[in-house]
Amino acid sequence: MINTEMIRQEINHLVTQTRYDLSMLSHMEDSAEKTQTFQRLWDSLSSIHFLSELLANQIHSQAYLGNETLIPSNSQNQTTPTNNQRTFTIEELATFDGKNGRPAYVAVNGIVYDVTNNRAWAAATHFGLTSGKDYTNEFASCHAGQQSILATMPIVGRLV
Amino acid sequence: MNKKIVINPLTRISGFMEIDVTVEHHKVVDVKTKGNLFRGFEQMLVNRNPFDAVYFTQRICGICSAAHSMASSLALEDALNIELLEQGRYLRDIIHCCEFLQNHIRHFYQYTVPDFVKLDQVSLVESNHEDFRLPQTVNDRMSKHYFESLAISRSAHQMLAVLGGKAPHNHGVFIGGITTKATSEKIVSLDSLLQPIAQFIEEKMIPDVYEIAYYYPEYFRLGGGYGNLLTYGAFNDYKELGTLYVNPLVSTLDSVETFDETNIREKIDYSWYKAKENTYKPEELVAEPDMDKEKAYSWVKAPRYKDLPFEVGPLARLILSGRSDLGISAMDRTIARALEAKKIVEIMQTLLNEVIPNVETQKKYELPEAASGRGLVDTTRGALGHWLKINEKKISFYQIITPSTWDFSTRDEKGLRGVAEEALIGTPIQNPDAPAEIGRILRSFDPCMSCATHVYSPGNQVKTIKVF
Amino acid sequence: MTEQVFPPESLTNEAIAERLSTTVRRSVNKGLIQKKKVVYLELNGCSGNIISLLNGQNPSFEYTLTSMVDLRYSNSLMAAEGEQAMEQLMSTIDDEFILAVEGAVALKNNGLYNVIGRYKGEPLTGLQAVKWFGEKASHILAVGACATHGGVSAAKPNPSESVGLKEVLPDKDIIMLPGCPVHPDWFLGTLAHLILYGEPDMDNLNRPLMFYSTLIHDRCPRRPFFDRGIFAEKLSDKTCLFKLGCRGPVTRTDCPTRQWNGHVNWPIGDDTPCIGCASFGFPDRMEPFISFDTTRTVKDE
Repeated sequence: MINTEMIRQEINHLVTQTRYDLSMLSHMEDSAEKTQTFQRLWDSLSSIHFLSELLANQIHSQAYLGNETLIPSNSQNQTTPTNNQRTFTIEELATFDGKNGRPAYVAVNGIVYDVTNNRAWAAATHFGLTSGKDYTNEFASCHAGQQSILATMPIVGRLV
Repeated sequence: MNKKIVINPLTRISGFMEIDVTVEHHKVVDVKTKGNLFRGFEQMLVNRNPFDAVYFTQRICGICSAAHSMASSLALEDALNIELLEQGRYLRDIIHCCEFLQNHIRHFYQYTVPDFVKLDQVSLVESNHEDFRLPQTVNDRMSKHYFESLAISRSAHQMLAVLGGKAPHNHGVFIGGITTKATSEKIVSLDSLLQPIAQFIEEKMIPDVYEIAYYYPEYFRLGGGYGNLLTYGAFNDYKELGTLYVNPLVSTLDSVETFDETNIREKIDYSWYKAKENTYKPEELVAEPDMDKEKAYSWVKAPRYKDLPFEVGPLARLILSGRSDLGISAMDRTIARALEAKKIVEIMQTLLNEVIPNVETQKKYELPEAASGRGLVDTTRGALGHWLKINEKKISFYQIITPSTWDFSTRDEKGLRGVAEEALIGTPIQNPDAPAEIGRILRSFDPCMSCATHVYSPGNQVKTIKVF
Repeated sequence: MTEQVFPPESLTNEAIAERLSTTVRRSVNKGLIQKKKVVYLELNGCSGNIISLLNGQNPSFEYTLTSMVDLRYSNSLMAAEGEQAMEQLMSTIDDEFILAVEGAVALKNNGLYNVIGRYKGEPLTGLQAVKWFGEKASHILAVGACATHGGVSAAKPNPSESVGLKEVLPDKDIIMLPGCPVHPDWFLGTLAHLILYGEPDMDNLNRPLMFYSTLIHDRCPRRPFFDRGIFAEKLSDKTCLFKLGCRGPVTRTDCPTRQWNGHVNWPIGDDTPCIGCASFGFPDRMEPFISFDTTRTVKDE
């Protein structure tokens, strides 16, 4: 379950730290220390960017699904299907392979996600996997405990 | 009395190689050259995306990776029926020139010079033979050049990266020419990088090679071999510029003729491979490994042209392009490499002058369901060929014959030895305990065993006295 | 030393490399530190990493060779050959030395697909050499994709049964320097750090953070195009290469700021996608390198 307030706090925290780092930088002499601070600034920026994407997708998906349960779990029952949600058979899913202008979709735990513009899915492929398939097992073995990855991805429907 | 000399590793080459030499009355009477690593690129390439071949095949070889990107791009253009713009060709050939320069300078200074010059700055370059003849001042000058040359070959790779993104394993060479547009800034940058390289070749590399030749004159008589020369052509047949270097030609001791690719065969009679025939055309089949084959003594295949072994490389190109002052020997081969570096500088300058900035050479390419193509091109070490087939938009067949396979082939069913093997026959060995001659002659060919992708097998060794 | 350094970060990385090499030189000259012995083994691969190292500029390779380390063995560069070369290698095994390995370890036929020399008449396989020297080395560097995880030498169907260094030295701490080839700064900078200060800070996959900490995507100059959804349709386009197959979003290196060959260019600068050569899945899991069919729109299909 994603807590918007928590994300907001996290962003605020990062912004505070960035401000602090910037003010420190103006006084800093030791170049080794400077390097570390620069690195932290870069990291903070990346994190802020990630969190804002997360928030944006959050709003988008909520409007789309009208449903607050955004992290799918292994049990299908927890995610309530809604009327405006499209269903896919595995054969239908296979046509969304990202080729010739078609979108790229993949399924995990019964939910179909749009990875067309997901950064880890360049050319609709991801570490040797091609889109248009059910990757429940692959996700479980490579991203155990990383359900948050799914939370950032636009949901387009369910696999039936 | 027969003695067997085994040199393994033959250092200062790309990849791994063992040489077994039999010496009788201080003369070489038999030779076997063996490559010592195998990766199997032909098998790996099957089922891959055809476009990926350009970057994938570069990984065959770290010192001549651009060569493989050239051959695979040509093969794909042939398969996809793409006619490239002359501007695309100029740019791609400029990248190829950069690799020639990097390769020849490194081969001469880092790989060849330690054979003739006593380097003692660091323990790495301490030699194990004693045949050093240069006067102290000359020797000192050349050991300085050994280190100076590193900055020069480095900037040759830098030029390559200006157009090719990075080196080794460039991204720039591709179907259609190169992947980026040549801006005027890039052209000027190349021109300015080229000047010190040109100067180094003219003022240091060429004088150095002649100086070595002066003190080691017997190498003009050693390492000759068959005298058959072959080139697929290099920097030739431009629409407007004509041929800047050499056309596709073959020559034996008594004839010169135009090269015709249908005469190429690969033979595996004495190699650890099996196929339905021991002699086949490159596009016909890729032979399977077979370690139990009788008579076979090596994993090196044997390419032949009209059933004869042919030498490829800078010396072959220079002679076939009409330079009559060169003979065929180990020293001529080394001199040819330095002279060719100068030639390549001139070609690159000509091509740079023809480049028009900001010409688009790229398109969105489509793959056919099925097709086949080949790319034959002369690269730093000589004639390189890639043959590929596409089926269901995937690579279904890939055959590679590298220059070092031509020069370091095994013997064939007629008993004809490989080019380098033959070149060693009759060589007098002064000191069988520390033979300087064998390494010098073999390195004159610039062997690249990473390219030759052979396999070593320990079986069926003749029982002989090992001198080492 | 004290010039203002603000992003792009390459300046700070450069500064680190420069500081490291100057300090090493000063310390060696003052006799504060001894030149460390280095054994550089080339195994099943293309020897492209040693060629890349010759391209090193800061510190340069010649400087590294003459002032920083005592390179005991390198098949590509050493003057000695045959049994003498092997003797030079073997004489180092009881000294303190750093082991650097490029190329994969071929396991097929007990390692006989990659023989690196002949010692006392017997073929010495890459497999055997790595086991001997890996056990004794003070530090081990896996140089390039083949050494870190098998790389192209282990590409499907992996005819030579090649593996990365870790598979044959499972109990050893190995500094991973992926890349095909490795950037000379990544290797020479890590080596300089080892000599001066010991092991650099590393991530959970043992890659030095000073070179491998940030995703290419996060520092890519074409990032604004990605964020706006403006994608290249062919090579040579100046927009985001994501649809052509760019692996920058999954690859952690400092290529966007450091660049290659004296900082003149890099793959994305050459209008081509990053092929993820410094990702652990390279090449099989980074393919296809270039695809045009994701950028093409076919109506009514």
